Amino acid sequence: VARSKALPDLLIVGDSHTAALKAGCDAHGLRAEVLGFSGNLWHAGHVVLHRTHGLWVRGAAMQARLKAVQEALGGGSLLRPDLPVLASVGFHLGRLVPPFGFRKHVSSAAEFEAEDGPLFASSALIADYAEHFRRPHIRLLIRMARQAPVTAVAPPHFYAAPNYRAFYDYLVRAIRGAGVTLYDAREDWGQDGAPLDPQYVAADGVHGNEAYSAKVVGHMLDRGLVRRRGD
Amino acid sequence: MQDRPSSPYASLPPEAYWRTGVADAGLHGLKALWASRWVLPSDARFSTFGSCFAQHISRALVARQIDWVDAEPAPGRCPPEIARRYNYGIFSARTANIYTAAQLLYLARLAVGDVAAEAAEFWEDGGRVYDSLRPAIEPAGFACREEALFSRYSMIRAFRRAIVRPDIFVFTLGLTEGWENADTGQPYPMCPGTVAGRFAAGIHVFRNYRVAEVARDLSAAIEAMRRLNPALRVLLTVSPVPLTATRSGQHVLVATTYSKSALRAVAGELAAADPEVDYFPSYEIIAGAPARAGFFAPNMRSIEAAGVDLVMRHFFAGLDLSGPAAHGQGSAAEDRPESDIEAEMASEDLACEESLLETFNRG
Repeated sequence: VARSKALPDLLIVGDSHTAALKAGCDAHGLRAEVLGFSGNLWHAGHVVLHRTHGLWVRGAAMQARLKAVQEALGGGSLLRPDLPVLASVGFHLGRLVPPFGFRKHVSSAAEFEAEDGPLFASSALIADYAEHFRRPHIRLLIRMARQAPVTAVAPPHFYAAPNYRAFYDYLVRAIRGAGVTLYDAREDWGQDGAPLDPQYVAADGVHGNEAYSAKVVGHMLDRGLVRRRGD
Repeated sequence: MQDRPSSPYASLPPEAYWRTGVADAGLHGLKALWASRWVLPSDARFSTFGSCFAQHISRALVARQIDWVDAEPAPGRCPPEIARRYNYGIFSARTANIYTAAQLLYLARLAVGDVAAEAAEFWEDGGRVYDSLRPAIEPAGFACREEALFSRYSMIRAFRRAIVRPDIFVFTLGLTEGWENADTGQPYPMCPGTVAGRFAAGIHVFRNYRVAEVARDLSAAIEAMRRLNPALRVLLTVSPVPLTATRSGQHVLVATTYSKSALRAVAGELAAADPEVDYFPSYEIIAGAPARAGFFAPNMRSIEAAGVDLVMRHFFAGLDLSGPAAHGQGSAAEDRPESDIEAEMASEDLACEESLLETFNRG
């Protein structure tokens, strides 16, 4: 009980979008610890489930970062039933979609017709391709969700390129299909596949800004996906 | 003593005689089975299509780092098992097997625009849509008709490139037997109802093409392809793989012999009539007497790897790539280099790492 009292409202784990989620939590007065690693590490499978630590990562520097968060939580596993987790895990589209398009494969009819170069890729091919590379991440989310109340958070959708949308849509379906709760701001805000409104895009062009973060966490509060401890 | 009149056989090389060319030489001593009639550029490009056996030629060309036109490659970093399941990298475009000359002619007409891509049927089955031109091209068909149509457009676009880009279009003739739509004349790669679709007697009609029909269709296909690439050279082969089944009413052995004989005759006819068509004797190497059927697997149909190796040894021995290079390195100049995209991804990673630093800020 003593440990629970010291616990933050949330643990945020995942890729670089964890920073925005943290900013959103701060904006709403939610106390959150963050364990963030580059999407590259997640893509490469360097972050894994661990019996003692909950999660584990390859590399001493990253492990030190993980242990610091563990310590801030009072020790023990990062994944526990009394600590809700927001997980920005499983998409990492920047490592998935560009290679798919190396040879000009496109998923949309309009893109195929616009030029002479592209080759058309079926939805089944995209699903199998994405599934191959993201199966370990979805399994990780499933296992995490067995140990802690996990909500996966889809990243902001920036790109007009239809391949991004095709992969994004597939992964949203796949993660939900695996029984993991997922918050999709694009769907919640009625974006209908359009890229994120520029007013919510950070200066680097690949993350949500403070307004975005605050809006995402606000909506998640409204929907009961996150809550302040004791509420 | 009177001199014997000189005989035209007197000055023939050993391979012109059965004893020295075959019996004494033995299977692995066969020499000069084939010599390409063309001196090709050292960087000659090849496209390969046809029945199953043509796949071996694609693979052997790739293994020897000869420029095999892969006009419809798998997506970047596609796992090999997925690429295989979706029939990438087997032929120069995702046509799937082209068994008959009628099929090749239909595809050539699609490529030049004489037949509209929408004209060929699509089949719906169990909520999925199948392309009647290549019903097994995707492991579970397509999600909808539009998707199947755009995949067909993509194949036609790639098939066109596989005609325009190469120096040599290798085509392996497989069968004389096939099925057609009685109303539209569309040829099918296999009988409707076999993999997908529903067989309809009266509409789906069996054809066992006669020699003259195969010759007519093959000539017309080459003519159509030369509208896209007037310099196209065609290398014909005949698949030694026997028929799995025949609908001809004959014993399958007899039907196979007819089929292969007809195709072999047509290939010889076209090569004799057109200096830009040649014939490579893969059929003879596998099915001829010297091999004593030893290259057939126990099912007496599949070809063992040793047979394929021997075929390809003769292929490369007869190929003349001594001409000057013709293509340079510009074939993919219009493509954005993968290295550019890699660099972009790396810089994005850097940006992501930077943004993570802020999460340490407890201020």
